[in-house]
Amino acid sequence: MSGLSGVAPAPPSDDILYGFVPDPARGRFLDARMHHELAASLSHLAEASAATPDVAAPLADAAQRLAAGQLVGPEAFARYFQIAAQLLADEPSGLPEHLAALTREIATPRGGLTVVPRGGAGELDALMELRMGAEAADFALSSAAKAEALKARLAEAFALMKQALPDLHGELTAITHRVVAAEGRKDSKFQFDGASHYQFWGMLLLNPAFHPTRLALAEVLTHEISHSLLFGLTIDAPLVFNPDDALYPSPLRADDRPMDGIYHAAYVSARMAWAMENLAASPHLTPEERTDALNRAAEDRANFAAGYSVVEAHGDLSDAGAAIMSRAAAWIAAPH
Amino acid sequence: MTKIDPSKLLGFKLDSAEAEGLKMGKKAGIKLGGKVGAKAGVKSVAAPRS
Repeated sequence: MSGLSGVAPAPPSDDILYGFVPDPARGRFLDARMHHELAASLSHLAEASAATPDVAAPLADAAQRLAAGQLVGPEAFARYFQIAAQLLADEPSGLPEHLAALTREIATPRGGLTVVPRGGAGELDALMELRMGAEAADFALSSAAKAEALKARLAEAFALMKQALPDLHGELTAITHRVVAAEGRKDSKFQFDGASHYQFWGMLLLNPAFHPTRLALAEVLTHEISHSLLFGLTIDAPLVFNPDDALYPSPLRADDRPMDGIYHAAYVSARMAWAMENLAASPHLTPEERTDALNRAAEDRANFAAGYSVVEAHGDLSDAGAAIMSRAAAWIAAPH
Repeated sequence: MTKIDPSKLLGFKLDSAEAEGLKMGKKAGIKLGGKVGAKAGVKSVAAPRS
């Protein structure tokens, strides 16, 4: 790694890093490490492109800004993936424009949480097309009015989480800085209700057609931040070594899925159960909400059990994958 | 020109292990989440999550 990218943040102990219970400090560490990894990667690309100064200079400048502590949004992360993919494939088409955009995006502090509609999400719209390919069509345009309505409901959910689940709220807000409201494809029998993507660190996609209550939003936010948490813990090695073309029954989908997806599904289900049970135990819910939360938790626990049984039977887990899942299973098994 | 080493690149390093015989696919992909999402008029189906 080049000196341009600064010193890697010191990791916490395994019990904190892989711990099941939400931890704001861990969220901040993972965010810092992602930025460090981005800086190191840009620095390596700059070194490898030294013979082409028009390419190397903006990459080196971006790495230096990050090493100096600049925090950036999902636009810069996705742009890096686009540039790296093109350089690896020796595909120069549009590269100067992407480098210019990277310079702008790296120079732009990410600010606080913003809620924007798909179709009005700025650079993220085109980046989703570039990085998600055909899958981007599953996240259809939404309107500013729906995004504003979602923003208002999100404010209620964030307020509830800050009050009742402060550590989860802290972990969530350490990582998430963009929520993009997107709708399902009109011609699809499947409708997404939430999504996240490794290459868009800090971004969540939510479908405003769902999540009518603050409790439902708190649950889907827990789901998505748990995916992001796993992304942040998946830097040097995957969670599972099972080949992606080996498919297994998933507790959460009708179609068979790769083990990586089943691992994610089981883990996020356990975290959703944690959130719903802790909300139910707090004094901040109405009686109706408490009943709803416990019903959701029971479903989440059942989903974890179904997914975990597949992981246990067929999963070829990495060290990190085993460390994370064993702690989730221990929480599920413990009396509460 | 120095050759780009995918094992030094965020995200790509997860796939670069494939060259070491682990036969992994793209790990840096999308995760769909949330509860059941059946659109109006369609019988509820398990949402495409994870």
